[in-house]
Amino acid sequence: MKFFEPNPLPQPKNSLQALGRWVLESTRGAGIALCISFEALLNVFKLHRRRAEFGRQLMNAGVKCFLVTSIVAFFTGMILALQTGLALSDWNQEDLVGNIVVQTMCREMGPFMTALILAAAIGSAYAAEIGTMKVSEEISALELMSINPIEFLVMPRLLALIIMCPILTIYTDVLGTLGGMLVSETQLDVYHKVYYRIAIESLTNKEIYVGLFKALIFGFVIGTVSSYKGFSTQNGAVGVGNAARTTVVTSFLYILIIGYFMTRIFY
Amino acid sequence: MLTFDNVKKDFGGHEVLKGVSFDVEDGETLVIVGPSGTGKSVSLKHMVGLLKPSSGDILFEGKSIIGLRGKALAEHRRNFGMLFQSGALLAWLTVEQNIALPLIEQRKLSVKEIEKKVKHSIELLGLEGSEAKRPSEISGGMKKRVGLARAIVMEPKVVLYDEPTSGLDPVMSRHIDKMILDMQEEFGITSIVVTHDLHSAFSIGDRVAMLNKGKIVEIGSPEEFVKSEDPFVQEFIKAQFSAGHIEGIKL
Repeated sequence: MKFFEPNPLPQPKNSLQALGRWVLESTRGAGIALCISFEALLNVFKLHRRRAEFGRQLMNAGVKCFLVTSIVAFFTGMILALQTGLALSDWNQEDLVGNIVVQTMCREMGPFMTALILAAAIGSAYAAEIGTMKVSEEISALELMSINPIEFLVMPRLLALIIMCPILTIYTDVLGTLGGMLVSETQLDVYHKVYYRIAIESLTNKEIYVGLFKALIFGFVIGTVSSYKGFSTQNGAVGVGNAARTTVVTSFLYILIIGYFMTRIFY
Repeated sequence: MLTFDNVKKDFGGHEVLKGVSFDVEDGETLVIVGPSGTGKSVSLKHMVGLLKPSSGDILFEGKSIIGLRGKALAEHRRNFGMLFQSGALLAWLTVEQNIALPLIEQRKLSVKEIEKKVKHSIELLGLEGSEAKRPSEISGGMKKRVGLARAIVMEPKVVLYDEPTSGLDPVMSRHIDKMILDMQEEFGITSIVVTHDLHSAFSIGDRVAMLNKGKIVEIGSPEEFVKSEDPFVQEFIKAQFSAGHIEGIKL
């Protein structure tokens, strides 16, 4: 594959050279990963050719994560409501819990939790799937048949994540808010209509759009990391395991770091 | 038809090919033998542009393929079919869909024409009844046959075989050898086979080349190959044939 023909750097002779080599390899890796994703996005106009695979990946990302997303979202909302409600009750302000829960869910926790679930459940699976194809020479076979592996494999997966991450985020936001409502009603004695009114009044379009934009970026990040890790897989089954593991770890780190900077930019 | 001209390939300071030169004539079967890790599969991948040499040139029909990109590279690859060591079949597609894939992706034929060609390949390789099975449901030998069906369905000029008999029992190995001979007889295809199996090499090869430590140390007809004075070639032959007794080969 054109991005992956080995062009290795010289062996380091001391720790300074080793550090330099690590920086160069990391930078090159990031560059290659972005090149793969941008090429995939440039091939989006060929989506009609890959509609079956795209549908399969949408189902994978959506349906397979549905149950775990539901549980995580509901309990995240409940924990948020309980913690903030208890703190607010010291000042008899527990009625405001709906405000805090809905804003936190929409701005931060919704996209963040959804992205973590997708990275762990779907990103690792993508890396393992592409990695297995790499080590069993299926990628080479595709290239030999003049099939672009990026269009064939990455484009439908990346697009499915970019679309499904915001959709699941909306679901997470709603379910988290409902979880918060349940705790407010049963533990904090905040009537559910009061919780609902305050939550809705505090919610602006900006909270929703920024949250969904974050989710879209996180979907792109997970797709990019998993595709790159998959294509750079070497050393058989061990390499496939490594690709899946490093996809989850790397995606988590990028989601956290990018999430912070996006919050800083928009607020 | 295909020429390797002093091809060298270096992977991070480790030189795998150290100046490989040979020619492949139109319609012949060249078998490249040699120990593991000596660059046999790497040579095959160079022929179809999956790897690029560090130096040297590769000519196909008189034209250099070095530096081919995009459509020109795709055009070059259409001349080749390749049977990969593991079959390299896509796990989520059925046998029939795997064979049809290159035709579908080419987007030049109608559905009926594709069906006809796929059916012909399936019949040729005796895969009737397995059309709807997935790669995980078929044996290693059958995977190789499906891989070969996919390789020939585009009617290539050259078929590359990467260890076609590895991991197969002797009966299935001879069956694969027969299929390779049948392909050559039926279509006059040029074949380049990479293998460890000298029995197979002598059965199917018009010429046999020994690649050792990144260099061709012997190349010639099976008769010439057996008489080679290179000590490594003799050692390799003795390791596979007891007491110099070579049976059932085309000598």
